[in-house]
Amino acid sequence: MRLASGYRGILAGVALSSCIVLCGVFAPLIAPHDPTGQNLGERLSGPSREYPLGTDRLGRCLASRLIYGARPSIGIALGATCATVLIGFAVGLPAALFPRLDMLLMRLTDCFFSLPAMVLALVIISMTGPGPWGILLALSLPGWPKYARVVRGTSRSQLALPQVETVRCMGAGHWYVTRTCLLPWIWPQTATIATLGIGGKVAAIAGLGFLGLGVQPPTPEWGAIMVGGLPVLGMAPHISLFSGLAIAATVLGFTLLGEGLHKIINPFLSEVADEKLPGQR
Amino acid sequence: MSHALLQAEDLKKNFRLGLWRRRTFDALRGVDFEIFPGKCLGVVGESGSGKTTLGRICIGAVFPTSGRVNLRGRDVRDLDRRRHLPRLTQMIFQDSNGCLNPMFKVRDLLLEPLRIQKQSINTQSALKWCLDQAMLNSELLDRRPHQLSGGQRQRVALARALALDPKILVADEPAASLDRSIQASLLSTLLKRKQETGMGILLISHDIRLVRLLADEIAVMYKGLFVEQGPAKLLLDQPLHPYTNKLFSAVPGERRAKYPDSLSGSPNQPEPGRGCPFRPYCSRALPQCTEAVPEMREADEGQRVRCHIP
Amino acid sequence: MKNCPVKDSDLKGYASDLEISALSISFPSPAGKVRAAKDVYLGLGRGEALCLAGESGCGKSVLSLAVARLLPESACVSGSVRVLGKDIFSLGKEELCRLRSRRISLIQEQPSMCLNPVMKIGSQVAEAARVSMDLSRRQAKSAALDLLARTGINDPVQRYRHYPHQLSGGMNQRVMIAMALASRPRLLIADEPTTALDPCIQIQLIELLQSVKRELEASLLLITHDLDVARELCSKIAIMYAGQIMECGDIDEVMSVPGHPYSQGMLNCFSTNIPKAIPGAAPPLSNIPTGCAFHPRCPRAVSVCRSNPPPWRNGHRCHL
Repeated sequence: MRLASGYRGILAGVALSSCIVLCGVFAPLIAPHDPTGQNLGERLSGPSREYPLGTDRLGRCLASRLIYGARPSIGIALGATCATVLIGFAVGLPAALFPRLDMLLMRLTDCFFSLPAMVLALVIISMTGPGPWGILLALSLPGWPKYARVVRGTSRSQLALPQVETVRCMGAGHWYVTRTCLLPWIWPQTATIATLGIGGKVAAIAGLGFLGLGVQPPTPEWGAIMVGGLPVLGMAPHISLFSGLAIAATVLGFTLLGEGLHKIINPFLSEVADEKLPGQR
Repeated sequence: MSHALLQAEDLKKNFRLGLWRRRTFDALRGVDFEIFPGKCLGVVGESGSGKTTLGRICIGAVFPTSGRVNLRGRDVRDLDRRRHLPRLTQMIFQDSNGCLNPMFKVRDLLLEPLRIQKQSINTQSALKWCLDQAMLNSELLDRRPHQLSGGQRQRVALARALALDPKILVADEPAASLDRSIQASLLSTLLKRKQETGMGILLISHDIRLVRLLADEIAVMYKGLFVEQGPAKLLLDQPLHPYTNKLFSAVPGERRAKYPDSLSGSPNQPEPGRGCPFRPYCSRALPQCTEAVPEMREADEGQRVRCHIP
Repeated sequence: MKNCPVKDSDLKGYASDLEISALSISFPSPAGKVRAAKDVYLGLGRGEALCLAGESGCGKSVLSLAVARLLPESACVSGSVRVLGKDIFSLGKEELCRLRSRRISLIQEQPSMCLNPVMKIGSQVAEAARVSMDLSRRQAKSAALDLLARTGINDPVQRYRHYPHQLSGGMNQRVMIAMALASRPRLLIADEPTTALDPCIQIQLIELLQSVKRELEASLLLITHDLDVARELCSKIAIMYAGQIMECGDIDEVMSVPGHPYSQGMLNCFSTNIPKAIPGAAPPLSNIPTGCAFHPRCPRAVSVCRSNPPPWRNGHRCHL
């Protein structure tokens, strides 16, 4: 492992983000109680042996709700990220490969870029109604133009290289060119941007949940839990505190992962591109 | 005539430049030539004369504005770009670094043309053949392009181009910025290939020494036109066109007290819209040189020159 | 003038501009230790021109960077490089800066890469003039116009406002020479200045370099693999292979009667109608053969060539 500092960052990022993802995946095995099970006698109680993180207003175990809450948060964030990346590739690659489509596709991208993301998200949710699919759409549609631009830009500069002309001379079609000359150079950048973006999406989902537009009760979701804890902040601060910490930890984990990925992938790329002695051509 | 490998008829190419595509730049202004099996045509000229555009048109990467290129009797535009054209013609470029995918190892680069053409290959024997052609050591097989020297990269590029057994090879400045020994080895590979398989070569170069050794016929290009064409020996001994004279005398290596007039110095008058393009730099220009572009006329023994001066 | 290898006392008074003694440079790399130069001796007197010739990858460019002390931090250097009498590796930062800006000029291959692409060429020349001659902005601009005209650029007033991408390779190289001329150096280092340019442009640049050298009474260290250009510009030649000087001496003598098998191979490549290449390839600098570095490719190698490093005699480094 070449870079000690990048290594530490990516290790921390991998550890944190995989912890959270595993929590969501294995929630039924990890959660101490049923997340929707109410126990009105133990409402708003602090952390104890039975309830590791305390209970909420309806006496539901906070720890179980937070563990189950990882599912919608991470699931929708990952789903939205995949959707934006796929749409970005679907628009960016043809724009670079087919100059005639370029004008049309880039103007379409500009249109979506110019719409403010929050407003668009709210409009979409108002049309679809709150719920996981609504949120997925609301996060994907404003997000893809960025990827389309990056994919198109990188592809265009790669397509101008003589190596593309050489393989076209040998009879390579668009798919071969994309696979061998474009994708190896595009995916590191998009992977980094996408990983860094997951944290932002988690925060956005929590924000929508905070506004009441996200995943609906009784499904636990961190933003909704946080807003539920606000009226009782004086008496039971642990509700908003722990849910806030969950959001922050997820954002941090994925951001560290993305930054570490960037540090490790880019030196490799520049090593491949020019591993030379000083002064050598 | 009909068994020529490559035939170019009155090739013209202009590019539209500028924001609104209003300015035109004439890269080629009417070029004719033929390449027969086992023969090499050397196209010499300065940068900007249109040589590279000519090369690209011959492999079908660029389409001419008018005129046609026939490969073995069939128009380049009619040939299947993915199946037939690659087996007829290949190109090697000056910049070998940019031509090789930096992610691939040398073994994958050498097999790449055969894989693209989906030819079933015996990997071991194909690699051995490629290494022989390229005169490379088998220990280089697992290296990447950035770990090779410039000469080795150009040899890999040549082996790749020859792997599909093309009938015509277009070599665009293949040996520029390479040292003598590598130039010699590239040249000897090309000579051997030309003699053994009857491959035709279109050699585009500004290095007269290379052209002297490889070409059977030479064409001198100036601003998109052939100003002189003919058998190599004749042209080199007796160049007829004033530009050819100047070009052949501008060879570094012979120490001179004073150099001949520079070829691209400031012209005596602004470039004419019509008339011979070389008129501003020509010391022996006649009045009719400003009137019209001279036609190609036959001198003796197959040499042709485009000049008003008899 | 004696070139290499010589005792220090022989060089005093002769090699006044550049004196390299027992220089060895190596770099650590993932592939192993890279030995870019071993035991190099070179000397240049006032107004002399020396060509350092060799294949790409033999370490010549590293040597040129060493002369200007532009090597990376990881380089291990032993031996000495004296420029104008001063040991360049022991100079302080300020003195080194002064030496680089006023005494040494470096002209490199691919001038469009060396020029700032977002700055007008005139401004770049003016900046060089201002830094080296302490001029005001207006004085620097007129000095720049004068320099552009002297290097043969047509219509300098209009060209002043152009960017590097609007000029051809030959023109950009003239701009680099103008910038080098601005500082009136004593030592010109030209690293492949004419490679990949047309022969006509090459000849014009050769003429220009000769006139600049004459005017400044500067010495020239030309680094190239093109022996024809070397013949035009230089009176001495040193042939380098795998980091070592294999032969050096007067250029006409070496090129007509080369002593070392490598020089013989290089010069005989195109002596007949059939091109003859030297078999094999130059070794990577991280894996140089034992004994004589050239022995795997040498047609006359004997057993002692494989085991013992060759001695220096009669102007070249060979056992035979």
